Amino acid sequence: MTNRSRTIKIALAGNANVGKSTIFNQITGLAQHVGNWPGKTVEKAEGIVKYGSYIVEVLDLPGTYSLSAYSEEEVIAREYIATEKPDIILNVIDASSLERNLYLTIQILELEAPVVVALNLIDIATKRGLNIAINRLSEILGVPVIPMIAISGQGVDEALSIAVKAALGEIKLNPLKIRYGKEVEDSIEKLRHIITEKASFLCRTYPPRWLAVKLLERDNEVISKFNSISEGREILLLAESLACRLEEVHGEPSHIIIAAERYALASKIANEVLKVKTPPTSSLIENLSLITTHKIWGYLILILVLTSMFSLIFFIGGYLSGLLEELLYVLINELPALRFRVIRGFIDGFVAGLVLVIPYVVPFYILLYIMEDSGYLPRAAFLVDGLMHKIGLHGKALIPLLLGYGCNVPACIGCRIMESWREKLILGFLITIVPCAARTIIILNLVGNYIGVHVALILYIMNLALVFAIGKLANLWLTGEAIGLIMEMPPFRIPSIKIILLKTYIRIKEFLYIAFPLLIIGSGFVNYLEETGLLNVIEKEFEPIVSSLLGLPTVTVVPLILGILRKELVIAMLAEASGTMNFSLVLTPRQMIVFTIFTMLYIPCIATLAALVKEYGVKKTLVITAANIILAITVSLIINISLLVYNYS
Amino acid sequence: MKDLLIEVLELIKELKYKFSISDASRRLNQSEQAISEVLGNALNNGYIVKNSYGYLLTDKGEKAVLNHRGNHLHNSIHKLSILDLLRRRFEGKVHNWYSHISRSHGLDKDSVRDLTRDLQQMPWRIEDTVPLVDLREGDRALVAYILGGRGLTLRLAEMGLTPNVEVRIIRKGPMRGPIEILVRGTSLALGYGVAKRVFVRRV
Repeated sequence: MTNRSRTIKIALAGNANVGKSTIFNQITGLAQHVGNWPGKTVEKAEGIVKYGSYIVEVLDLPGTYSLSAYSEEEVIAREYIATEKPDIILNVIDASSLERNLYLTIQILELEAPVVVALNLIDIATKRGLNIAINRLSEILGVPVIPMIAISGQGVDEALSIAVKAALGEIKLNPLKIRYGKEVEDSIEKLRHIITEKASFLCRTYPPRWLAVKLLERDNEVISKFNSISEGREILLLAESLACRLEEVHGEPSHIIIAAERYALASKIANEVLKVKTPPTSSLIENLSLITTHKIWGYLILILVLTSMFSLIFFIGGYLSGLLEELLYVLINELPALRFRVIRGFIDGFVAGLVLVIPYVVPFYILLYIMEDSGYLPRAAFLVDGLMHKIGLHGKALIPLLLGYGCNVPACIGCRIMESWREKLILGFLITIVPCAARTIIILNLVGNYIGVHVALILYIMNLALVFAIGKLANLWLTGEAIGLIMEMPPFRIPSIKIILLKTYIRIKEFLYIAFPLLIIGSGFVNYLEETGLLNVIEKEFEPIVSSLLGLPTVTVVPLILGILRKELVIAMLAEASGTMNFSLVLTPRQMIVFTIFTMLYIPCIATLAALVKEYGVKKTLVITAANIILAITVSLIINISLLVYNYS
Repeated sequence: MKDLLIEVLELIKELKYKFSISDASRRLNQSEQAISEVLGNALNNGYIVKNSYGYLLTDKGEKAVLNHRGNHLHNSIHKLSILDLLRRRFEGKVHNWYSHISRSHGLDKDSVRDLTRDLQQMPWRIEDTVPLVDLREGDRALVAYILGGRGLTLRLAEMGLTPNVEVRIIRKGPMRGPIEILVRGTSLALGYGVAKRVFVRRV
């Protein structure tokens, strides 16, 4: 108790799917902040809580299976551990798959970081007939091991208190020293020696032994650290020759040798602490797993789940959305400030955001998190992986893509579940082409109403073909290998409602911060343009493209511009601009088809743009938008010309 | 004749001094006379040497085995898809599998070197290894080697797929879908493209 206001830094580390974020949410509750790592697109979740007289800063490191330089997440996690030196790493491990999880624990221990282990999911391990000697595990690792069922909060407080005690030095840690086989160990020693001698600068941040291991593994990040110091070259040459010699002896690449040895250690520890009782022959979980990935039943269940999810969001959500909008306008229309068009624009933007978020985005997140936390999502991805590969994506892309048919906004945010930039970009672009509910209304209202439902259906199918073709093209153009699916299949569990609501709340808050300002300002700005007559100037500017290129009447320009705000506005504005609700008076059938196709593709609405900026940054959003515009003009032009050629007016 | 020679060389590589003509005749389903003939040929052509303990491969013999393994690997990748099969028709037989694999499968120099080493050191016959996608549900196998660049091999090793680890096929997804395996007590789904690059030995 020497320093009463001391801050203790605790970082949560662990594999994906071990309940790390559940523990984080249990500890911090609403007192958390979600942002990005500086300069990165990887999410950073932090929270500050009071524990006794201490202030505890909890940080949720990205979920990783390893600490190699394989992904951005892994580099972030290990750099944080090495350079920020948190007081304690709370390593969350899955008791039901101990061996795989210990692989990461071993690597954290290699970084010589102070560790406390949270052994989560012991309920599932017990159900599988696994009994873990917790004291023995703690003895071997030389650090406290706390059994936990994070979803019900069991063991979370205890883990926090032990982590704090360990951080204050009240519990002594005697972490296991990781040792490899003789040949590897000899190489490490030789390297460690020269590193401590000649790269003392790096040794101030990183443990020299860890640097030696990473050099033997030919870790790109660490190699570049040595490249930038004067005596690095000599060390690197030695490392390379040692790695080559190891490879000659073992007949495997050095990174595999070292991974295999770490696993051999993990396996040894797991075997020592695990007692396998005879597992129950057929549990409910096993059966559920079997049926949800079944060749026939699996697909039927998937269709059932997806249809109910979408009907729930879009029918109930749509109804609520309309109700809410009416209610809000009843209230707003009383306001005297409405006389000013710009203020009216601000309010319109605010209302648009509100009627979008509450009925659509909130239920979407709740349902998505239920699917995620229950373990159904990986099963769905498993079923559609083969199909998704044809467009350069893999199974996990299913949910965001389908979601795009309802609303592009949550779909774009959902893109973050993809691992690589390549896939995120392809998926993000495809989503903006997918016609959302609002654009479906345009298709039905114009083409469906005036030409025929069959033509509307053809447009829909054409769009689907376009999504496929663009996916294939993007897959060819974008460099880099398409990543195959490597996905853990976690067991089914019953999700916690508290955690789901908490996660939804955090996401919505984040969404409001980014989307609302844009919606309000954008909406006000367009009204300002209208007020000052600038809209007419813009109308004149765009007229050549719209009328001569696409053969559309001038009256369509303003609806198209306002459609960027909200696609729902296109029909209403077209009615207002042309002064009639009977569109066959202003548009010929050919013009209707071209107009609809153009609206379907041209520019994402402002809320989608906001979501894109949030997920991809400004530059990539501009690229996607430009691609959209080019695609819209090209496709509309081709359709226009072919319709003209076939004398369809 | 040529094929039998390779099979005998593979056996010698696997069994070393435990190799015997009678055992080989039983394993390869050939007469002892045929085996002796092949051994004589192999000795004359410098593929093997004989000492008081038994037979050993020479460098030339090792090279012949490696070449055979490379070609076999190349064939087993190709038998998987019609498109690849067609491409092979046009390319004709591959003479240099080494450069073929780096060219057509996008492996860098280091990865090809790693793969070559894996093939060379593999302690059983190449015919005993199959890609993961060829196994059926419920089959058990040991991981032999992975045809892929550093990123893929490292990622898979980190998920527990290290050499000689046992895997069990839990289920195969429909339409060239992913394959779910049990490795080190964890369920892992591998996409078809990944699974066809993981070569295993049945147990």
